[in-house]
Amino acid sequence: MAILIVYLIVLSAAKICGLLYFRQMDFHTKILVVYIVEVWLCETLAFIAGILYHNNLLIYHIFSVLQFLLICFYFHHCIRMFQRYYIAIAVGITGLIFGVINGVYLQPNQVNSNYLLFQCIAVITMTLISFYELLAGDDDDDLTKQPQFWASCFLLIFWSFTFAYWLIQIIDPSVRKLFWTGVLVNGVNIACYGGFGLLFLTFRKRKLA
Amino acid sequence: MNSTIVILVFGTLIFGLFAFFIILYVMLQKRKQHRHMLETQELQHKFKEELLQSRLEVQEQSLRYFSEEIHDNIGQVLSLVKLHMYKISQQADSKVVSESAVQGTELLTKAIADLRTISQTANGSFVQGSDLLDILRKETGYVAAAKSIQCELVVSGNPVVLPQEQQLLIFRIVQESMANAIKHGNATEIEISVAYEPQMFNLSVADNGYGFELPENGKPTGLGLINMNNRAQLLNGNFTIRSKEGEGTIVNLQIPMA
Repeated sequence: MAILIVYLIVLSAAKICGLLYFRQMDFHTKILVVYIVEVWLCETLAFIAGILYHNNLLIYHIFSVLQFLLICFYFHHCIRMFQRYYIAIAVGITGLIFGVINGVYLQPNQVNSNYLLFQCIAVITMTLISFYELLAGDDDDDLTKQPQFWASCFLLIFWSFTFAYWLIQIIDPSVRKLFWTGVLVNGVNIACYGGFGLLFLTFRKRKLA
Repeated sequence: MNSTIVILVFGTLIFGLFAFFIILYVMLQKRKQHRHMLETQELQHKFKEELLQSRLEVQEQSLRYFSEEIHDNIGQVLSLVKLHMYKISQQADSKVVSESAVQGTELLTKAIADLRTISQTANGSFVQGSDLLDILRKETGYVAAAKSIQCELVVSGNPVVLPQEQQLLIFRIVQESMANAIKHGNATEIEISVAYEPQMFNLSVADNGYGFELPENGKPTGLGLINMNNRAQLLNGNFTIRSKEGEGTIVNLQIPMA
């Protein structure tokens, strides 16, 4: 419980950092701020619903689809190849349809693990493509000064761990009950969303450098 | 329970390492690309510099040949002619012939002196062996006398002895600027300012000629201006031209002092 509260505080801090510098940000980073706000809203509502109704599955079902759409929208603007062929938009729409089908017919009153696995594979693939494009690009800018690079790093780390977690849960469902699982999942969440907060906080400095 | 923990640890470790190595690979690869790009740029810069250097060396060689020809051939012939004229002035029976021969001798003396100046300033070795300010004074004096224009040299700061190659390149820029001012700008006044600052050598050649409109990108297009720009590049200097039709031209050169 304590680590969950720390996670929510870090997420709130990241959201505040993003909103503080929102006007100075480029369009890509603005999408990420909206993404963080959406995650914050999801986690907060899930936390409240968990306390009040002891069930927050519906919230995760709805918000994970929205999250995926926002990530797709972000990559659509980041990756030139995606922009040209609307690949990320197509993946986003596929995700939306699959999310609805999964939520209504496949896993209506369960954790939407099918959808989360699909989401993990899609996001990891998109981050790898974004890395490829960063490498293939002619621009000679320092990678560490590019918000796009850091955002892809945080997304890759977060979704790789999430993927590992859901895969392990398929192999051995009892993993969910372990104390260390909660620590690990929330620890990764704290590290990644804290990273996003720092990214928003240092956005101006990075752009000026 | 233990096997579950092992699965959890190994699973997360594998995926964590996967993410870590991907990020590390991207960073290292980009750094490698950056280093390669810098090396390519450096090589291109070196090649360009060597090309410029050899082009200017060829130019200098031609000028040296031209200078030696003036000194050894035309100069000697004119000296002989002067000697003969002097003899005529001494041995002539008629006063009119004698006076004409004296006038001819004087004109020849001036022509020989002018030729010597041209020969000296065209010869890079002579310029390199002299003090920059001395050679600039000589050049302004010669231009003022030969072209009947007001030509002034203004020096400020504490003069520093520059490397000989730099001195020659600077002198050639001044020569080209003055030649342009007279030939194309029809200038009647030229001011050469040399300022020695602790970190910077500043040179400017300003004239009151016709001036001209610079291209929008500010890059020189004429051969003379391109040569000046190339010389400034070899000096690692900042070369600028400010000009407007009817308002004269100012050529500026700034060279950082080591």
